[in-house]
Amino acid sequence: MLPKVNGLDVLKRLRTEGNKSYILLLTAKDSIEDRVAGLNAGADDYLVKPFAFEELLARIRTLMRRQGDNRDNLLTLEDLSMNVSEHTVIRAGEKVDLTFREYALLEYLMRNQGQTLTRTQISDHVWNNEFEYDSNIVDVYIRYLRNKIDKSHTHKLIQTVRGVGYVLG
Amino acid sequence: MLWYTLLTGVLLAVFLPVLYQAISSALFEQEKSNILGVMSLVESGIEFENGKVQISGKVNPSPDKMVAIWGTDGKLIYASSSDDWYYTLDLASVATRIRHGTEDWLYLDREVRDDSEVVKIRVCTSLEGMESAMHHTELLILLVIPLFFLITIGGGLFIAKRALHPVSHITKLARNIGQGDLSQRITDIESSDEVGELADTFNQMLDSLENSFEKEKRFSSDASHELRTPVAVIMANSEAILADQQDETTKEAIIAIITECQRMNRVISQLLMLTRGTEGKYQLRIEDVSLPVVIEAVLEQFQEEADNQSISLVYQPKDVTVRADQSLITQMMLNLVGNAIKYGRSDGHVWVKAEREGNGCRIIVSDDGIGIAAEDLTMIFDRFYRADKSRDRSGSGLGLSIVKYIVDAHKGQIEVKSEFGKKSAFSIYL
Repeated sequence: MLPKVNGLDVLKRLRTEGNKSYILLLTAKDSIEDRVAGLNAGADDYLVKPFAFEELLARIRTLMRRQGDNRDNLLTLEDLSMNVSEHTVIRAGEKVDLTFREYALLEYLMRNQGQTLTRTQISDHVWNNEFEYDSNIVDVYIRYLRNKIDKSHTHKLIQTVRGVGYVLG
Repeated sequence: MLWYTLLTGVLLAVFLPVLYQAISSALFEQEKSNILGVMSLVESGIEFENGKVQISGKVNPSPDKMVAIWGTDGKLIYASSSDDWYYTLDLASVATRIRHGTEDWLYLDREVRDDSEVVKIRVCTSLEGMESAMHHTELLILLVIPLFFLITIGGGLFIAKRALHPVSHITKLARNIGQGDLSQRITDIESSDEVGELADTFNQMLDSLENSFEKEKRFSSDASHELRTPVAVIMANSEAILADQQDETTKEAIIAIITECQRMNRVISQLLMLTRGTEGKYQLRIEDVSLPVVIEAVLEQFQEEADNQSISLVYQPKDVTVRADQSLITQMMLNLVGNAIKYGRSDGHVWVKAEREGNGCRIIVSDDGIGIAAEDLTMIFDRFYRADKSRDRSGSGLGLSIVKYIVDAHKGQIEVKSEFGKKSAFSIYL
């Protein structure tokens, strides 16, 4: 942890001064309370040490590609659409039934469509470090999602990027 | 309780006969002094006058006493009743007890002289009164004693139970605490006696235990967090050097450094997980989970690894849905199948079965791998326990303890059967 001053305090001070730059917290603290506190204090992302460089680069790329505050209610990609307030997903006019996590995963992918997301990014944002899941869980859930969204359609929306992660688009 | 009963019994057994004896003796003494009194009375009623014996009326005291008087010549001068059985008794200068028919009698002889005249007086009294009194006493004892016994035992039991009830209360609480929850305290013991003191002392002990555990946790947590930064720095720098490196030997060395950093990171994560004890806080999100979907996805995930070891994954999908947390069930299957493959043998198999059973479902993951030794069987669900320490340096040793946690969180049951060197089977009911 930082000597003499608390990282979160620095963050809060920056935000109250009106600093709108993207801030990614690099920290040793990984509990969900710490994450929530970090994000609440105004951080845009949160990465736990130690990390692979690739992970850091992927996160920075994701942040850089953000267009303002993406709080859209309706997310679309080709014939896939997601209504966040109604919690519904439709592909090619047909309603798709997703479980809680499958929905959360799709939402994350859609909000970052076109960007390759690493497994760690996905598990951090969708599973929130609540439990000791291993990285395999992301792969399995991608399968679940593919089953429900891509299987009966010719154009596959969920792409695998070997060695890096997944991308929607 | 038993000692108390024995003690009471022994005391009664010793004391009562003594009491009985005492009463008996006292009564007997009473009779003896009675008869002496009668003798004196009779004696006083005998007068000698001019060589003749005069017996006054005073001589016949009461109907239950028999008096006989013989004159100098041995001839009977007086008898109070016509019963003569006692005439021929031996001379008794002290009160003597004899039995006649069904009764006990007490008799006493005395000689009265006056110059040349000798008169023998014999007084005989029935001991029936005394006997009757003793008999009554006996009856009383026989009746009262069992009653007394029962009351003391019953009362003793009752009092003991009441006194010890707080103790059993404490025991129950202690057991709960022993199962992991150090925050509980023993409350609602009102007595200020030894039991109350016990409860207080217990609570104090728990306070200090909880305190020291907290301190330890905090230290482990802080230390682990502090360790992460140096590890991150080492990794970051190593990756930077690696990117520019051309020399193969150096590259290998740096990759080794990075691998060890990753291992260190895993250990730090485990430590932190222990200190955090997140397990209690997880909120289950229960949905309808289709087991065939989960199992097929998990098996697909491991297909490559299984092929590398020439292990075949066998599963016959059957339609079965369970109310559960999808992520947890997925993780559980990942751990079970992953383990089966990790501890499998070349050309081996992993069988997965999932079927409806009663109100729930049964999932069985079995393999023909290296198996688990009998002595390890009870401990495999413990955190960090590794049965075959040489084979497995990957993973965290937490896999099965997580599986158990997930099964418990769903209020299910898990059983493992294994033959060392041959096979293992994990059976779960949800």
